[in-house]
This record gives sequence, C-alpha cells and structure tokens, in this order.
Amino acid sequence: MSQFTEIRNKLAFNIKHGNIQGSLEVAKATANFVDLIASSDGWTVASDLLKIVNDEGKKLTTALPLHATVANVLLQLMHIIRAEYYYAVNQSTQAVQRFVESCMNCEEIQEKKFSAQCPGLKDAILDHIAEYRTELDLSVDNITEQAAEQIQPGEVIMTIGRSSIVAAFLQAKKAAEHLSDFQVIVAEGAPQCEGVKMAELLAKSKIQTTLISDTNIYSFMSRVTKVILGTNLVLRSGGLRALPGAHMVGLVAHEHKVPVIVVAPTYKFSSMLSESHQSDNETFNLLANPKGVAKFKDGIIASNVKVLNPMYDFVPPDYVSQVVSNIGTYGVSHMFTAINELYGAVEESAKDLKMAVV
Amino acid sequence: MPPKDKEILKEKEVLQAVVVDDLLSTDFPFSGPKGLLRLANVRLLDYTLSCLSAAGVEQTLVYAAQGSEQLQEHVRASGWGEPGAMAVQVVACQGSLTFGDLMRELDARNAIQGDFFLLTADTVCTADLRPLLLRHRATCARDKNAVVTLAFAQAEPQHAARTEPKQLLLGTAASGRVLAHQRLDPDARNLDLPLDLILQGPGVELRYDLSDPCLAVCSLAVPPIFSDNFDFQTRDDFVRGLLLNEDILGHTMYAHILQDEYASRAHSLPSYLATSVDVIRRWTFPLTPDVSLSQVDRGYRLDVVFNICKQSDVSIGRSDVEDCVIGEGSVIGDNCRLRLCVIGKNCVIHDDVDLCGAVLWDQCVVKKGFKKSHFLAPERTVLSKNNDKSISVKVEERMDSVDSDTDSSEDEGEAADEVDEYENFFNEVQDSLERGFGEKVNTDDLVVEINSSRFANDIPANEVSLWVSKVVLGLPAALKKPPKDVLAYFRPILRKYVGKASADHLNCLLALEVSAQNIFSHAKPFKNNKIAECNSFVCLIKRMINLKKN
Repeated sequence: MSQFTEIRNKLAFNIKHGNIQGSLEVAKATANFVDLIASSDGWTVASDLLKIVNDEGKKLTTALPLHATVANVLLQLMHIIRAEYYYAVNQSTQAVQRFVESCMNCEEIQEKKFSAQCPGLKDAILDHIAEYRTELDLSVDNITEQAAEQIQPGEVIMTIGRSSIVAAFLQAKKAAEHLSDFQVIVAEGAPQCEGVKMAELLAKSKIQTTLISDTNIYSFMSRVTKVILGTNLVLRSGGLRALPGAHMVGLVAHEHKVPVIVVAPTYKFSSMLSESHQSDNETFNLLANPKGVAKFKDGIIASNVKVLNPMYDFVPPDYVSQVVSNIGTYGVSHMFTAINELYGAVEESAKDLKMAVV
Repeated sequence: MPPKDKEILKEKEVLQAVVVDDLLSTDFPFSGPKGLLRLANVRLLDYTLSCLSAAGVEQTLVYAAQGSEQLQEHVRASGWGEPGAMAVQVVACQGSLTFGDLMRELDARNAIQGDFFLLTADTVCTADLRPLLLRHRATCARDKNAVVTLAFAQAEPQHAARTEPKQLLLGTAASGRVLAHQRLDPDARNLDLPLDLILQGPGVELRYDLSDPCLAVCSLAVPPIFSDNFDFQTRDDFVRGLLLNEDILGHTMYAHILQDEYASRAHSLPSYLATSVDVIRRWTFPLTPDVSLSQVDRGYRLDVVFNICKQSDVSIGRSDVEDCVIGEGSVIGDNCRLRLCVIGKNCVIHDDVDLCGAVLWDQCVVKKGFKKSHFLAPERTVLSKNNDKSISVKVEERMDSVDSDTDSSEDEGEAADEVDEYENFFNEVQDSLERGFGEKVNTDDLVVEINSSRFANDIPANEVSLWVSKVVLGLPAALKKPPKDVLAYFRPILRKYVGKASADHLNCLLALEVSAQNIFSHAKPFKNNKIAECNSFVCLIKRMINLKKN
C-alpha cells in the first residue's frame, strides 16, 4: 500500500467502468497519474522514480487488462524518464541520440543503474512529461491537419467499425473544403456493429455515407480508392491489432491494390513485435463474451455449440501502406524505428511492467 | 426549507451490497466457506465481488455462516477493500446457518442504510447491475409498498443451466409486480394459480423460461421482515411468504428479467458443473480467469485457437486438448482427449485419458486409460479405471451418482423423514403398550411413555388420538390375545386420549375403519375365517360402545 494506492484504484475504477471514455481520455488520465508520481516527494534518484512508476504501473495494468493504451503511455513515459536521466548525466543531446541508437544493445542499458544524483533532473522530467501531455492534447488536431493532403476530391473511402479519430479525420476534410465530394462506405463491423454509429456520426457532418454489411466488403472494394482504418494498436512490425473484420478489409484491399491508411496517435503505438509476441503474461488476442453472436438463453446453442467471439484481428504489415499519426505520416516499413524512439529497445522495454498487457 | 447545516451534516449515501455466504451444500467435499469454493480455479467470492465492483457498489458486507477468517484473509490478499476501491467487510455470524439466519443477523446489526443488492456467494453474474438498481428505485417511487426487485435470467426449458429439480414459474403483472412464484415438478400435469392473477388486467405474463440466480435489490424494509418471520430459512421462503401475506402486510415484489445477460448460481453439484462449463465457454466474460478476475489466482493466458486458458508451467503432451482451464504445474500426457475440463494446480494426467466436463481440483492424479465425463474430483484424488484398485474412484463415483440422482434421492429423503415421525410414534407406542400388557404395567406410566414419545416425534395434538387408537385397535391381532382382555386393559388409555372432543371421536372412528380394513385385507378368503374375523370385529365394536358408555 503506498501513497498512490487510493488514486490508482480510483483511476482504475473510472477507466474500467466507462467514466473516462475513449482512448485519448484514458491516455491523458494515465499521463496525469505519472505526473502526480513524478511531482511527489517520494523519490530522489531516477531509479527510485522508475521503481515507483513500475510498481504502480504493474498494479494499474493488472486491474485494466483490456486497456492497452494505459500500458503504452506508462512505457513511453518510463522511456522518457530514462532519456532525461541520460541527458542529465551526460549533458549532451548527442549522448541521448547515442542512447537511443544504442537501444539495440541492451547490455549497455543494463549497466546503467540510473542511480546517480542529478540536480535539476526532477524539473527536466516534469517538463518533458508536460510536453508529452501537451502532445496528447494536440494529437487529434495534429492528425486532422493531415486530412486535406490525404484525401483527394472524388475519392471513395472505405472504413470498418467506429473509430473516433477516423471520424474526426474525415469530418476535418469535409469542414476544410465544403464542396469536396468524397464519399465514405462504412462496413458495420459485426458482431459489435459499431459501424452503424460511425455512419450516423459521418452523416451528421453531411458526408455522403453508405453502410454495408461485412460480407459485401469484397463486392464494394472495386469502387474504393482508399481504405482508412482505425486501430487498437500499431505493432512494431507495422502490423495492426484492430477490430474483427479489419484483416479481411486489408486482405481485400491488398488484392484490389487499394492503399490502406491507418490513423493512429502515438499512444496506440505498442512495443509488441507481432501477433506471436510471447512474454510472461501477454496475450495478443482474447475470446470475448459470445453474447454478441448468440444468445445464452437458447439452450441448444449454449450447451452444445462453441461460440467464438474474438476481440481483435491481426492485420499483417503487408496490407498496410501508411500510418498517419500526430508525429507525422510513416510508411509501414519505418514503424519499427519510429516505435524504437518511443520505447527503447525491444529487450529493454520488455523488462518493464511485467504484467498482463493485453 | 431545511437549515443549511443539516444539509452539510447529511451522510453521503453509500451504495451497499450484501453477500450471503450460507452453508455449502454437502455435495461438495470442501470444508471451507462457500465463497472460497473454486469455480474454474478462481474463488466464487471473486466473481461476486467483481460483479458488484463493476456496478459501482461502494461497500460490500459478506455475511459468513462459517470460515470468516479464511474469507477475511482472502479479501486482504486479493486487494479488495484497498482505499479507493470497493470496501469489503466480512462479518462472522456464529450459529447462523441458513440464508434466513444470516439475514436476521443483518437486521440485528443494523448495517444497512438504504437500498442494497442482495446476492449469495455462489451467484455468478456478468450483467451490469446499475439498470437493475435504477429500475428498483423507479418502482419504489411509484409503489410505496415495493420492497424488493428480483432479477431473473432467461434460459429456455431444456437448457443445461436449468439444473434445479423444480423449475420456476413466475407470474408478473404489466408493471413487473410479482403475482405468482412457484416451483413446479417437471412431471406435474396441473398447476394451481391464484385467481387474482387473472383479474389483474392486461399484460399479465406467465413465464417458465427463467432461472433464478438469487440476485435482488432490496429496500431497507427487507431485513426486518426476516426478523419478524423466524421460519424464513431460504430465499424461496421469503418470496412465498411475501406473496402469501401481501394482503396483510402490503409488501409487494417486482421482477426484472435480465436481457441477454448471464447470471447463474453454483450452489449444487449440477449447477456448479454447468456454471464451470459456462465459464470455459466464455459466457461469463469478463469474469474469466484470464481477465484479471483475481489478484491471487492470476497469470492465466488464453490460447485463442483451442480456447485453453492456462497458467505458466503447464505441459501438455501430444494430446487433443480443447476448451479447458488448466492450473500451473499440471502435466498432461500423450493421446489424451480433454474437453470442457477444469484442471487445478499440479495435477498429473497420464496417457490415453478421455475426460469431458470434468472438474479436478488441485493435485489430482488421473491414471492411464481413465475415461469419464461430468464429475468433480476433490483435491488429491487418484482416479483410475474401475478394475484398478485405486481408492478414490469411490469418491469420484459418489460425486457422479449424486450428480445424476441428486433430485430423486433428495425428494425421497424428505418424504421419508416426514412419514418416519408418525411411523416412529406408532412403533414406539406399540412397543410400550405390548410390553405394558405383557408386564402388567400401570396404565398411568404407559400414558407417560406415550406422552414422551409424542413430544419426541413432534406429533400435533389433534393427531395423537388417531394414532393411539390405531395402536390399541391393532393390539389384539399383534398380541394374539382376545380383544376383550386387551381392550379392557387399555380402557383408561383410550379414555384419556379419546376424550370429549368430537374431533377425537372422529379420529377414533377413522382408526376403527383402518383397523377393520386391515383385518379384512389380511383375512384369508375362506368363508369360515372370514366369519371368524367378522365376529372379532363385531366384538371390537361392542367393546368400543361399552367403553363409550363408561
């Protein structure tokens, strides 16, 4: 039990039960929590701070196994703390660059104990965390600014399910050029069928929208000029962990040579390598409640039939063309480097937060 | 307008829940409290507390009939009750065994401030409870007499989740008010319904497609109802009692049917096995072992392709394993076929084993070639084929036979108990009177013996005369003595028990009728014997009439 237990429990409760809605709000709340820890008096050297954040982070992610954003933000902030320490110790940006590049070599990292006293380290860390939080606040704007270049007039865009960032992206384009005549085809994304809500959102902004069932994705793809997807996570390999049905969209788009653009802010970039990423207790995918697919009250189904309702879909990096994020647009082959900058080496960040990251 | 300081002083209303942890059914070879029974390797209490925490309950009171220290330890180790999270308080109730007793304890301790959720420790529910609470509050605002809203889950007849021997028939009005609540025998051909049901107006529903997860929202008035009625032992008693006394006390009950949500109980062996299968089949998601249900039983990872939820350090040989939950340290051999199984920690399953729907607790060993489905094996059992001399097959078979025969044996047992009392009384009185006649004991002493028998067997006062008369009238045949002597000897006893009351007279005549039937039914179909019997019967009646005159 620590001084942060109560705050952590309240945060976990609010996120778990929908009081904090949407991945952006969750990311902001988590960054807030780390800020609180960093500004407290409980630490003097960087290793202490890292230990506290690690411990609290472990408990927080165990309580919220279905929210990958929480783990991502925690890991990114821990990397920031390490980078600031390295800078404070060496007083040069070159050293930091070397630090980042040396992230491939984890022996060097292990030697660094992060225990040297550095005056001004606390302020530097707090500043950097504040910068990170500002970045979070501006993430939606930074992404939607790029909408104008990404979408051309007369485009037919396909998307699946509901993603608030994709909706904002499309709405921004419409708002910027009122007469731009692009149209959007929304696949419903069974069994959640959030595509219906997406179609409502887009229609409210006067975007020409068509709602189709997932089974018709292939037949409509011949008219589509671009696919824009939201995602749960972007993996280091450039692949995605997205909602069920996304793999199918990517596959069909690939066959029709339609570019697939993924809109994802940095807090959705994950340190996981790929779908077969194995570590202590991480799972890539889960089987969720079958109630979306079949009804429990139907005795024949409930007793005799195995009803599968996977939570996520893996989209291989081959099917993805570009990732539009708040730090710029990346080609899929550059994702590995981009994510390294956020998290450090694979081996290094794998040691952080040994908990149930899902 | 109330003064401002009073507003400030008003206590913030805390949303409470009461988890009743009554006695575990004897089906289970488990000595701890019900809340610590493992369902898919996670304690039942964790399922209940997770469900309540999700509903925003701020304080949970767990009333435990036994094992409260163990429950407390588990709560502490799991991190329930940390500051900022839901507060969990385990209340030990010595001497309280049933649901009703624990509710009376609740009333005595006065711990409830307002509306509260009421569940048992074996309720597993994934439903969001907040709409249930809102509905209850709306109902109470509309109907001042409403005291409880019962929640029911939907499950069609023939559903595997309906494991109760007697199924629920619920009658509700259009407003949701409960009009009828009966447990029906599955073979029953008729059913009795109160006339009020039909007269309630349009929208009356009779539902037979419900299962009862023992989940409800109660108002403040509920605990005192249990204290006022000492014979309320189970929740069914409470519901029936409220329905019966609706006119007198005016309390009303409402029902809320959960739509598309999972809720069930794991209180008996069949329902426990059915709920285990539901957890494996993911119907209880997010209450599944791999989604951080418990801080203590953690580290489960789900293999999505084969639906195997296992902890670390599990080794599976070249076997066909699908839809299982496996605890750490377990070893499964080659050529096995496991379906829908829950396997505890450190179990060893040898080659060629075929299990379906099995629940093995920690450290079980299953020997080569074993094949069985739908059973529970308690900790450290060794299971092997029938022709192997392993000890624990008997244990496991008992579990299995309880599983399949639990309904009929339960009914028989109950019925047998009731009849036993009267038979006991009859036999005891017969023994004392026979002995008394043989040893020429004073009839006053015999009366004392009969009275003590009567109290021991709890015979109601209006039935004593019937049974005593039966005994006395049957004695001549039993003792093989002439009726004249026997009846003369026992005249004072008959006079004492068959007094002036007409009810007693009627009882005596009934006994006479029964005895006469006995005589004729035992009579041989030879004319002479029949006449002899008739004569003795006439003799008996004469004696009785003479007795009456005295």
